[in-house]
Amino acid sequence: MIQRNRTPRNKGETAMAEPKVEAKTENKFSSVTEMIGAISSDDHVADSVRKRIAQRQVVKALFAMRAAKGIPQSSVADALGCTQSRFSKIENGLDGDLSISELEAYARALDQDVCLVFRDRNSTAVDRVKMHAFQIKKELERMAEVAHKDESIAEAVAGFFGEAFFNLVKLVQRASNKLPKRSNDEPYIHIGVAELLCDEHHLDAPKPRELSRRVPKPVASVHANA
Amino acid sequence: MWNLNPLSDVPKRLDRFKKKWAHEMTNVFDNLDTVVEALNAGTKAEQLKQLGFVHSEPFGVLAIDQRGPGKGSKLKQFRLYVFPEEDAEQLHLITLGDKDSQQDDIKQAKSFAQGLLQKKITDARRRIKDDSAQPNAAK
Repeated sequence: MIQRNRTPRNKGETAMAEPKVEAKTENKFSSVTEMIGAISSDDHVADSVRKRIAQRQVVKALFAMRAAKGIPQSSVADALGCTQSRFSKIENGLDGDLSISELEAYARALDQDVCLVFRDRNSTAVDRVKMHAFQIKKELERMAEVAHKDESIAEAVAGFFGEAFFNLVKLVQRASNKLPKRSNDEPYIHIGVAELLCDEHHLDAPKPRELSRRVPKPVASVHANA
Repeated sequence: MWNLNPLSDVPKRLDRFKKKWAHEMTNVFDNLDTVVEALNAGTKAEQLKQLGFVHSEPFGVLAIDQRGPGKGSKLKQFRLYVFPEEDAEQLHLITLGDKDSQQDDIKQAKSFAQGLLQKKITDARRRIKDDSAQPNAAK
């Protein structure tokens, strides 16, 4: 905790309140679920908070989108065909109380599509990564198809492919950096995309956005060499 | 992404209230999660006041109450005082209290927010002073 001493004021200086409490620089948390376990000495309270948050994920996501877009409750209530007080109950209720038609109408009022994903309950992390990878492949192929329509689209898509390649490899590289090391302090795997691109194409500082504009071709050749 | 920065008062008060007022504590922290979700989605701190469970206090302090599912109006009133530092994307959790400590809690929260704002003003002044001193030094 940073402590600040009381400083003498000059004559005529505006009386600003003395900072009695200062920001703690440590113990920062990215979510309430993460924080509650650390600050509560009672597991029961922490579990109860986590359970409640898990039960309200969908309504919270919808609410957050509505608030960010500045759409009033009344507009969405109209779209749902219900009163504002009923709508308020939906927003403050649990996901289980929300019907699929209400969810769809709410999303539509926010100009959003609803995507439902069914997943095997026993699926592993590897299965989930593969599922997303397959989805990425499908979307990229769809973009490649669209690129046949126009040369400028093809150019843009090629640029994006370069960016996507770099970012995806970088993503795996970052995750691999979090792996433990072997007993001899050697990493289990070394993914050196930055060095690879620098060595092959003499880029000083590979930045994804620049890469897409300047050198889509070399990325393709890296892929071919690999 | 917004970060949560709980000051030392929050865990202490939570420890004091959690046994008797577990439901209220769950609601307060669930509401806090909603606030974080909204901030992460791009909602401005100013807009958070439209939430039924968020109250506005002086110097940009917000008070999050215990409203939520269950028990209805029978819930005891609690407030978690927070200060959203928008440029740093940090939500400072200042203190947690009931109606009895409300006046002291507000005073404490105001003092914290003022301190932080004052520090920002001092830093900005110092930066301006440094910037204006540089060209003179070059001459």
